[in-house]
Amino acid sequence: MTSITDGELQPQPLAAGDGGIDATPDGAIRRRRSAKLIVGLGILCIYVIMAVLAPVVAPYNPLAQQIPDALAHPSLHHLLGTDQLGRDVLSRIIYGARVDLVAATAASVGACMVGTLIGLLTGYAGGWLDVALTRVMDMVQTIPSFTLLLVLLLVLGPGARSLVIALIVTHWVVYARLIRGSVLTLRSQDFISAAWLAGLRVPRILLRHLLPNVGRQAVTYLASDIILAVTAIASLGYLGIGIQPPTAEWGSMINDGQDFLSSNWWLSVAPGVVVVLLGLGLALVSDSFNERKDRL
Amino acid sequence: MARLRYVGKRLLYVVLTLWGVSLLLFLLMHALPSSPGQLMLGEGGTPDQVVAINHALGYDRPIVAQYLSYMGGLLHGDLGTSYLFQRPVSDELRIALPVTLKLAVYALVLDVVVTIPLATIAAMRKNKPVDHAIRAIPLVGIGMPPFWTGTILLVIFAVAFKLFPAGGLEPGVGGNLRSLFLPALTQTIVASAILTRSLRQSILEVLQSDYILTARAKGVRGLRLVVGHVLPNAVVPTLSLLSVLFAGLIGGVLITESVFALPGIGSMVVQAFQVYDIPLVSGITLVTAALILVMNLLLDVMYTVLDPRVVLK
Amino acid sequence: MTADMPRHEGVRWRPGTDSQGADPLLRVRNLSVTLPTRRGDIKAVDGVSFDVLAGSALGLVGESGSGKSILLRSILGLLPGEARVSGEIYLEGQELNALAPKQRAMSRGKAISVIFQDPMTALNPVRRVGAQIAEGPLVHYSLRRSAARARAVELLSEVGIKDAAEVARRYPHELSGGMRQRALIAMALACDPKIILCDEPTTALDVTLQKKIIELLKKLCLDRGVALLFVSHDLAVISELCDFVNVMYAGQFVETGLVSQVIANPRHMYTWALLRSLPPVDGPRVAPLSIGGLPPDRLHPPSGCRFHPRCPVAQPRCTALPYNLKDVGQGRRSACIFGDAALPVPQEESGVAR
Repeated sequence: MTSITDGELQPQPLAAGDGGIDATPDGAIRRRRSAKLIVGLGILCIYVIMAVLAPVVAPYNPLAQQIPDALAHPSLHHLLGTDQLGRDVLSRIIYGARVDLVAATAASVGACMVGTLIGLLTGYAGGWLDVALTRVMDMVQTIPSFTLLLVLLLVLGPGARSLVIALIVTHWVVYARLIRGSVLTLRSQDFISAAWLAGLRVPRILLRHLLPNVGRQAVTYLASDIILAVTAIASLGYLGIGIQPPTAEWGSMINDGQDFLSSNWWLSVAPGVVVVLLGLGLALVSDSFNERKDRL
Repeated sequence: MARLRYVGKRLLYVVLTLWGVSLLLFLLMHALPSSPGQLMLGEGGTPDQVVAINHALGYDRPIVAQYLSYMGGLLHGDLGTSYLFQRPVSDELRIALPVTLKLAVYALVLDVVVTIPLATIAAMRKNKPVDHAIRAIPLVGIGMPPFWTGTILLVIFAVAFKLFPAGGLEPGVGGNLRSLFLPALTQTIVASAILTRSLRQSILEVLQSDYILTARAKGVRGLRLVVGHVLPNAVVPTLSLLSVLFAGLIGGVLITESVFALPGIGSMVVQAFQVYDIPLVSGITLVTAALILVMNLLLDVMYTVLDPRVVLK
Repeated sequence: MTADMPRHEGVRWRPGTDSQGADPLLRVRNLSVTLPTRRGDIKAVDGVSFDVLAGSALGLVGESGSGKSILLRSILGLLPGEARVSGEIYLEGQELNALAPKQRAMSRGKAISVIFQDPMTALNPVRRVGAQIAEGPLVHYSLRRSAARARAVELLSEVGIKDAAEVARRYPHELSGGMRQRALIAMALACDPKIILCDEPTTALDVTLQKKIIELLKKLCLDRGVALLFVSHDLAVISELCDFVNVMYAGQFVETGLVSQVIANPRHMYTWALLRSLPPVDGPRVAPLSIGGLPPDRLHPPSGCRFHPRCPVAQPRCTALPYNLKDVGQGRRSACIFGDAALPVPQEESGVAR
């Protein structure tokens, strides 16, 4: 800390800009970015394989209980040991991808579609519809998503389907705002007026001209949203809400393991690491997309 | 004077939004597939008992009438009666809310204490190893669910090293500070990851500006430059980000309470959920919404104080 | 803790003052600044040497990219981190480049201060104007806050702002452009400097405002005897304000001397071309003549005299002879082969050189 209080500031390069655009050759920057992308995509591939090929990849049935073998330490038979009911932890983690990742992706994609639609509508229509919907968006965002999810789950009942719907209702607003903002900006631009003057009808204008431009932003946010959705599902699972046992779900696995923190700490730690790595993969991919976008 | 008018207008907006939220909650509550009577009695109740309870709760009245008495109750601070505790919701909240508030404030303070130095160091040592390390944290941090980080912290600091209590709220100021530290830290890990990235970027932009050059040309340097010139300008956009993130942070706080067995409204709402205690869930939701609205208002006002260019509309 | 601020007792320099005896206030020797860029190293300032006498005004004129702003910044030591500096800078006999960063930082704003170009962006938008002016004395002389503030108000009136006390409490965005520039000048005067570096302070202003600011600077020089190092691309402004002028091209000085002499009788073709590009205020209307060709490539500058590709009277040896800023009498210097006497008048009167 001495350099901050006593000496000089580190002055900044003349050619301003972040993301490594300094006095380094172009090649190094590009290589750094594609490294990120490759690592990120690699990580995501693993998860997709886990989700899609779970029956092939997992060594055991995730629901198969072997009480005599409960709480076994990691070994060659059970690479991550077994839980308190003798179920193989590794298999449960692999099958967990089917639950957490698939539900989260479904929710995020659903929220993206709903949000984009509403954003397009309200941005383009304007007027009282816009005002009313914006107020609704404010209200939804004011309620912390956790409590809103609980309220929605009360209404919708238990199960994965309700969970996905509840998540869509909680998450659509960000997309709607994003899209609405871009629509408002683009709307005032000339090429839209040109299209309208040329006789194109509103829905056509929306689809052909606005969507490609604003869609990119939504898809970029999608990556962060998926990890937020996974976190939400796991948090609820941890609290015993949403996905019900005995289905293998990362959050409920963490909760199960909490009773055995001193002896079998990996029971709680491993599923969490899995979530963190997924987040890392998504972050790397979306970061490298962002940087590429900035360069355009 | 203009500021007071601004605050007044925003307060009006807060009230309106709260009203909207309450309406939304009311509608959702009445969209439940089962009636309160059924939920309270479960399998064992006879149809007559169910009807009796519903009548006692006023559930069989026309919906408009129910809404009016609901609104009337709200205006008096009456949030209904909890099924679970058989007591007014507001009473339950009066006990639990302070715990949550303490945790939230603690978390915010930690956020500031952690984010500002980290972002400043990262910006000052741009592209050096320290900077890369600090920038790498959000990549991992965003994927760390608060409840898991909480568990990890528990394992390390409470179980292995026994530095902090493993849950529950110890009385007294010292006890509070000790027991709330790990839960607050849990939330800070996530929040500071996001805020640091934003503040760092903001500081870098500010460092390029002419007025910083002017200040340095005057001989201003070191801490005085950072605190007097760089930070006041750099925190402004990050403050906006904080506004947006705040709802999420509160959500995280609520969940973390369950990890650490803290008797706040977070733990309470989970219990309430599991027994379909609608008034309690609804009341807590309304209160948290109010909390967020007030916090956003405070942040907005702070924004106008920090940046005199903001026009108070 | 109050310390009395020393008052600078300076005297305005006059032509004929015997400056042989006194040491120059500012001496720059062989200053070079190299900036690494993506495409290679650029020598923004290339082996520049000059003196500024106490109480005098030296103008630095050159086009954009000639290196004059970088030169100013290097005197202050405020270059980007990867800039490489060589050469010496002596302020009142002390070598600035040899100072440790902390010492260097502390030297700014005291004996030497700056006025930057754009008054809109040079002031901190979230702090009051008076506080910003008062900051210098606070930092350098540990003045009590009230004393520093009072001084700020004094300075604001001195630079011609009415209701100085009220203006001091305002924020920069509440002032007009002219007032902001005056506030910047007040800020530069705050610690009673011996020399003020000016980086095109009038460029961003409209013409009437320009005139007022120049008048103000002249008056301040007279009253306080403070020296000026005035950078501009506008020779007309420099001729109004400065005693001496150094003409800069592609990082080098191509001509130096008294302003009146250089303008009346230029000794370098670039100076000649610059003068030709100014429209005359009085006399017959003559269209200004632009300097032909393109600005020099800073990565790979032309060989020999860097101006030769654009010079209407360039000779074959101009591409080969090394740079040499030689004395040409009367205290003047020129790097042109024709510098010893009056310049040859170019054949083509169209003005746009080949």
